[in-house]
Amino acid sequence: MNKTLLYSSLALNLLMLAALIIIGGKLFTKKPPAIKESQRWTEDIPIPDSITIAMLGNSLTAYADWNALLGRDDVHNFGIADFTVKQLSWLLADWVIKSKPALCFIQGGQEDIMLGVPLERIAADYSMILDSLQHNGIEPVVQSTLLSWDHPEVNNQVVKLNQLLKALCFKKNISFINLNTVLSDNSRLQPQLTTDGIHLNNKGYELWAIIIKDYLLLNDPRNKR
Amino acid sequence: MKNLFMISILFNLMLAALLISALVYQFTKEEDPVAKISQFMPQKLAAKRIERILKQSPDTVSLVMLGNSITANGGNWNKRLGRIDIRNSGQGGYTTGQMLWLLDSCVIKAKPEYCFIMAGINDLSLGIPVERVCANYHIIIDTLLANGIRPVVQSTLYQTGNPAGNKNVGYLNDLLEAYCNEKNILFIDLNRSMSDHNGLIQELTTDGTHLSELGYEVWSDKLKWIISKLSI
Repeated sequence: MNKTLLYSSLALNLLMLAALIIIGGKLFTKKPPAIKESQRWTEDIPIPDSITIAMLGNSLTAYADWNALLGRDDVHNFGIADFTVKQLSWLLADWVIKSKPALCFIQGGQEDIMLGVPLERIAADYSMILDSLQHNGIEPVVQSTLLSWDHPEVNNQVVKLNQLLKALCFKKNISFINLNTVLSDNSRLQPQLTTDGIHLNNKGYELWAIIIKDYLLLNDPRNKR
Repeated sequence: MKNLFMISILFNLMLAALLISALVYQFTKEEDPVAKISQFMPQKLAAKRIERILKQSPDTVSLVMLGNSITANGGNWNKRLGRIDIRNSGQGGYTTGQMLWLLDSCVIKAKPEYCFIMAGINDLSLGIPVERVCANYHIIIDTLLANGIRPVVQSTLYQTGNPAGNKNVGYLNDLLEAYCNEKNILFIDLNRSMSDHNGLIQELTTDGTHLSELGYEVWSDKLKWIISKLSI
C-alpha cells in the first residue's frame, strides 16, 4: 500500500517536472516573426483567370493571402516584395491589365522613399499607373502609403507623399483609402501590428482587410454586374 | 521508506506550486508589443532574387558580375568569357540601392576575387539623384574592399537618342571614375567603344538601353582582354 503510494508520488514528480520544463521553455524562448512570402516572382508571371480584384503593391501587399483575408476567391496578389512604384508600373500592361480585373487596389512607395526617389517622382509614377488602369476600364483605388513604427525619417516623407496622393486622387476622381487612420497612432504604425517596424503581422492584415471589406460593401464590382 | 515518501510528497507540492504560477504567468502577463518587433532587414525584400541568382550560379566563384538587366540578360557569362567560375548576379530592374540588398548573399559570401559592377541606369530612370547613386556605389565598393574583393567598375552605358538622360549618365561616370582613381581600383570606360554622338550605337542595342547579341560580343571582348590583363 505504502509502496504504490510512493511510486505514484514519484511518477507524479517526474510528470510535473516535465510539464514545468515544457511550459518554462515556451515562456522563455522567443519565436521569430512569421513572414509569409508570396510564391510568385517577376521572372515567371502567370496571368490569373477570372479575377475581380487586383492587389498591386510592394512587400506589404505581397506578403498577404488576400483571398483568405477578404473571404473571396476572385482576388489576385500582384504584390512584388522589392519593387518601387515605377518598377511596379513596368509590369502593369503585361500582367495586371491582361488579367482584366474590375478593381485594382494600389499600395506602395516605401521602397521608393528608402531608395531616394523624390516624392514628386513617386506621385508622377502613381499618376501614370492610375491613368493606364482607367484607360483600360479598371477602377483604381489608392491606399495610403503606410507609416512605419521606428523610421521617423521615412514617416516624414510618407506623410508628405500621402498628401500628394490624396490630391492626385481628388483631381482624377479616384477613391483614396487612408489606412493610417486605423493602423497608426500618433503618426506612426502601431507597434502591436508590426513584425519588424515596417511589415504587418496577422493582426495588422486583419485590420487592413476590414477596411477593404468596408469599401467593398458599397463598391463591390460583383454586385454591380 | 516513509522519509522518501514524505520528501516526494513535499517535492510534488513544490512542483505543483511552481507549475501553477508558471501557468498563471503565461496567461496573465502583459505582452510588450515593442519587444516583439524585430529589426527591419531590407535584404529580405530581395529573397526571391537571391534564391534565383544562387540557384543559377556555379559552386566555385572567382568573379561576380553585379548589375541590372543589362548584366542579367547576358545570360551565361561563363560561356561568353570561356570560364566556369563566373556568377551572374544581374537582376532586371534593380537600382544600386536594391543591389545593396543582395550584396552580402550574392557577392560577399561567395568570396570571389573580383566583382565587376555595372549599374545606375534604373536609378536615373526612377529619378534618383546622381549623388545618391554615387553614394550607393561608394558603399558597394567600400564593402567589397573591406571583404578583400577587388571591385572593377564599368561605366554606366549611354542610351540611344536620349541626350538629357545621357548628360546624367556622363556626370555619374565622371564621379565614379574619380572615386575609382581615389581608391586605386579599375574603371572601364565602355562608352568609348560602344557609343557615338547619339549615345549607345544602334547596332549594339535592341531598344536603346539593352544590348543586342553584337553588343554583348563587343562588351565580352573588352572583358576578356581585361581578365587576361588581371590574370584572374
